[in-house]
Amino acid sequence: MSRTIGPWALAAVLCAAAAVTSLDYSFHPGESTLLARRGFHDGIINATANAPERYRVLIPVMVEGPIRLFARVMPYEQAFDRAYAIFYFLAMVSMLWALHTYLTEWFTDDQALVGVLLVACTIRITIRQHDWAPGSYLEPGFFSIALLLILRDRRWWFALLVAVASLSRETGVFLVLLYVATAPIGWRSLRTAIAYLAVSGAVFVGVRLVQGDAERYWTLGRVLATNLSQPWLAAFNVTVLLGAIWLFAVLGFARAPLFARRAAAVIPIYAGAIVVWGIWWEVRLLMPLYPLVLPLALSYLFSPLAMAPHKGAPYAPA
Amino acid sequence: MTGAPSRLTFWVLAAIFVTAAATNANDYSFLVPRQDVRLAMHRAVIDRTAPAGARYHVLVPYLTEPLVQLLSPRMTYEVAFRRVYALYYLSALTALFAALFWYLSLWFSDVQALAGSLLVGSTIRIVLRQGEYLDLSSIPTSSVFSPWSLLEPIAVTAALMLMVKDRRWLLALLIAIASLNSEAALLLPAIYLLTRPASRETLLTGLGYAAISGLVLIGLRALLGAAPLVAEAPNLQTAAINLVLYLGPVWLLAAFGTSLAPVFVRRAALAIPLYLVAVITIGPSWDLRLMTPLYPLVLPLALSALFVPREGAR
Repeated sequence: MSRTIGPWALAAVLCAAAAVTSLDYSFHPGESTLLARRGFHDGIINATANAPERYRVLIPVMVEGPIRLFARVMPYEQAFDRAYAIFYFLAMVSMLWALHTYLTEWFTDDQALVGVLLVACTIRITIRQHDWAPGSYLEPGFFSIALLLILRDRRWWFALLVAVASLSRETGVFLVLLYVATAPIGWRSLRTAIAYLAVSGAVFVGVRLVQGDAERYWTLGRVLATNLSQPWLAAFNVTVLLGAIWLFAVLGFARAPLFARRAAAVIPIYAGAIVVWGIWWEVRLLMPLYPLVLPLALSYLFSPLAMAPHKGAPYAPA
Repeated sequence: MTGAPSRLTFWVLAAIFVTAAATNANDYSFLVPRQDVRLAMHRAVIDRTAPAGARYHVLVPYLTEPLVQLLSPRMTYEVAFRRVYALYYLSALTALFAALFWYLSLWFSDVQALAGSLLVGSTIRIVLRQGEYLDLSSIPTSSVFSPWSLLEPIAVTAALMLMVKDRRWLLALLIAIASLNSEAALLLPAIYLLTRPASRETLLTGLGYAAISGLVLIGLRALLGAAPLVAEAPNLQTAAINLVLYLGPVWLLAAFGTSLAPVFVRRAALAIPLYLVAVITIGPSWDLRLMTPLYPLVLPLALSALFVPREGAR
């Protein structure tokens, strides 16, 4: 028999699932990485970091307050590491929570929990081979919440989310693409999408005006050369990031709800952007795909619910 | 709603468990310091020179050594050792998740049992590599090599299934094999006695199982000789942090779920305090690998807080 998983019980499970990975990411990356992280944070706060980090202001601005608070009772380095440890833990828990909430649109509570815990089992592969990427642990949550807001037709909230996500990373613009991929075709959708794009663009430009011009370390040529230096590492990391889930997603595509299939149209566009601008073995960059790939994979394992729980939504599944 | 058709076939489940195990197995195999200590300890078990109790945990080193020898002509012994053990860790973790799934599915739906199994997959990192979050110091060298810890929970889980199905001869065989792996096998007769109805027959069978385990453990000591005991300084702060992180708030779920769990599960759970006392008294209290046998005892309690279990086993 099934019983709806209560919020406290779900919190217990997700906190357990996120705790060790977030602690390892916070305290065990090695002293040089911890030093680099403090440098990136200070560089963003003081507008001296290189591009694009200088413009990814959301998290450093959020965490700076707690760091200063903690620094009153402990050395700055310790305050920094602990404030970020709290951030990483909360980010991972909220990411899993948002993913679970989105998956329950199409699957039962326990089926959604299987999907989320599969992610929690493999997420360790995302915490290596980079120094600084706090925004990566908010992005999958942004994607899940965006899909929920689209389903519920909450446009103002969606606009706010686009603005917040664009303060975190440039990938905020992909939320607009999600909207375009899933919205009904028509003038109303087009006008709304243009408005969202304007929000994202305004934040993009605004942050650059406030933070000033920055030197760019990663040119396209340097990115490509770096990527070609260890293709097998990239292949391994991408494979174990989702393992069999990649295959289940392909097999489940035809059975997936229409909305999930439409949202999946963003996968090749996003992957293409990563191929050009991203470091391939840093599979944290692929985490925003969780809410796009998992519904397809779970559709292979289980039968999706016939209707989303909120039947008034304009994007009911097929 | 959970009655909806699913495709959780054998191969699909196998693929899921390998996926859940892959990253941890890779990290535990290759991204750990002191590979030299692991190799030395493996050799010491084979050569009967290891300290107690590693010297008597012969099952895994004796099973893997022929494979290492088989590969050695094609690569160095060290590389062969690392690769064979990587395969072992991947297989053992996959088998652990599978065993937990099949035991949990006696009491819960397949989907719920799968969620329980994956919950272990998402938290097992703390067992494989102790966090040491307080001072970032590394774990003692005497604890770097501990492959038997991954077989212990599989043995307990398999034993629980055999107890539910009342397969006594198979249980006897399992206890003998588990005793070749580690002293944790002594937990199995205790669980048998706790879960069976009180009777003279139960007592005699339980004592028989204890005798089998005792014979194997004593036989190993007689065969392999006395070994020096390596004492480790207790670190209670680290032990406390590790214990909290072992299953985190799932401990609370287990506490809430106890009254809702099937009778067999509740009775088996009586072994938890017994085992904890034994670990705290005898073993290095910070080493969570000693806690792995508790997975099949704690998980069904926690799942009973999340889902409605069947009273009778499937």
